Amino acid sequence: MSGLTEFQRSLATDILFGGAGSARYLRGGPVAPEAGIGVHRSSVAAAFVNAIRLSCPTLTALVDANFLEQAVRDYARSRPPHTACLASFADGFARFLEMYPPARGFPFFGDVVRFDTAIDKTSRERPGAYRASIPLGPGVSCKLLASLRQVSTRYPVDRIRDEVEAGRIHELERLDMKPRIHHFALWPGTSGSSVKKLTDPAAAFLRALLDGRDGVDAVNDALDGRELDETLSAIRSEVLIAPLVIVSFDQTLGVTP
Amino acid sequence: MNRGSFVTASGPIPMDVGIGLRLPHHRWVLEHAPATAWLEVHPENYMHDGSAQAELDRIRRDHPLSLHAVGLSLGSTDGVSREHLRHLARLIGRYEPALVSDHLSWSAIDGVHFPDLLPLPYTEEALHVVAANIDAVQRELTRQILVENPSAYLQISESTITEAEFLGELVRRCDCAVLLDVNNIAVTAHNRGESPFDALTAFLRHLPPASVAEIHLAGHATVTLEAGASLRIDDHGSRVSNEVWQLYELTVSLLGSRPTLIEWDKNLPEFDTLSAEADIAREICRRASDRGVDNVRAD
Repeated sequence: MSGLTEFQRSLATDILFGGAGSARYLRGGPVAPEAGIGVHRSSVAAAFVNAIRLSCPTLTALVDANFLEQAVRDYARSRPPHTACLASFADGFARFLEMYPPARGFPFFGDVVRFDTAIDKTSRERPGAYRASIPLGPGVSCKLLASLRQVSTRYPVDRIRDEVEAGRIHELERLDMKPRIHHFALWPGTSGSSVKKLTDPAAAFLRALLDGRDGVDAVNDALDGRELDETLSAIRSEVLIAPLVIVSFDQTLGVTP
Repeated sequence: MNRGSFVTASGPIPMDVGIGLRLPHHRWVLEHAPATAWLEVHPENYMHDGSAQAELDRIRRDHPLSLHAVGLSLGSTDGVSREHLRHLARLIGRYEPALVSDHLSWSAIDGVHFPDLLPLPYTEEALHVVAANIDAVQRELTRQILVENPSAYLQISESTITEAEFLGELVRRCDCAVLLDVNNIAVTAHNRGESPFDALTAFLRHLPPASVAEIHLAGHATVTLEAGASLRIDDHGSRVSNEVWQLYELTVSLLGSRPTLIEWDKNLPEFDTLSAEADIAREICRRASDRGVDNVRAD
């Protein structure tokens, strides 16, 4: 192992986990080695926290700054980034918070982060492009917006985010926080992300299409014991709409909308 | 590596003062079309952001552009990330920047990335690693890159040569260019208890004048340590200090004018404030040129 590699590993450990093991490679001056290591540790920690703040504005508004900094520090230690871009740094943060003992009293934090990060990612997508055509049935096909996402949560994260954005955090205690499934479709709008709530059948249909399955499979998933008319109505009104989906009819088969 | 083997960038950066463009200023720049000579962005901010890319597409139509990377980790014994390099190459293809740069530092070890510019010992081993990484980047991008001197908060015992000598040797080995950050020289010198003017003179003595292709200017913070010593931190969060303006004047007096950039990241002010800093830099260049000491060698 080279001396340079040893030095880099030692400084990296000091920055991420604390300590001053790399001080043996350093010499004193006006600035003590520990103080210099501290500058880098603070700089790295601030960059991690900033990345989470940018991706998770709702959680940031909900928690104390010290809690966030400690949680991000612990998260970075358990899941340090493997690329120079921190745009995806928050990807595992929802799952981390759900297992994080200090957040045990706040089981909705994970979902809040899940929704925040989905909105953040969607807002950074370029609108306009569509995926390859998916057959829906004889003579009918559709194309999904390439940047279309679907998120399901157990808590009313849309309401939580709305209240936080409106500065009404004190209103959150009035929300029904009993766990039940909430589905959302997200896509890039003219400024930021657009969000649409979905019913269970519409969400099941969209999930199947996003997973690359065809229309027949998707409808079967959406039916799941429900009435056919009610299911198709939900699919038509919630999913098969512009700009989420473009539906095409093959005129040669004589199929009409 | 021969400089002639690199593809010429499409359109040079003007010999003028540009501004580091940050995402919060995109909309303002698009709406007001400022007469800024050129702009520089961090490519990492655009690698996974389609909407930011679309905005930069429009901004690029009216401004020469430089890409100033922070994630190549040129000093890493891991080597340069192929994925990062591919992303950078795609952005270069898209925006055709006149300059591409990164830092004389490392950020990654064993696959873990740190969002910081970490220091290197100035040793033969480090020279070998950095030179190999620069060669790999220049080969992949088929162009010359600029390497910037970083701010330092640590002094590494193993160093056998100075930072200026190290950078000069890299220029000779790799035919890379230099992005001389005058604020970083002031920060590093102060933190080492050295004279920033002596430090600047050392850089100008060890670097071939033609290799300095860009200059950076920024503000720094000063904090007092428990022991009573003061520490300068390169936070890009304030106006350029008087001392750095003096160092800049000395630099352009000795080297001649160079494309110069105003950087500001923390507590980002209105774009007009950055333009005002650019005006000061422009005036300093004009003064130096009027005195007729332009293009004088440091040695």
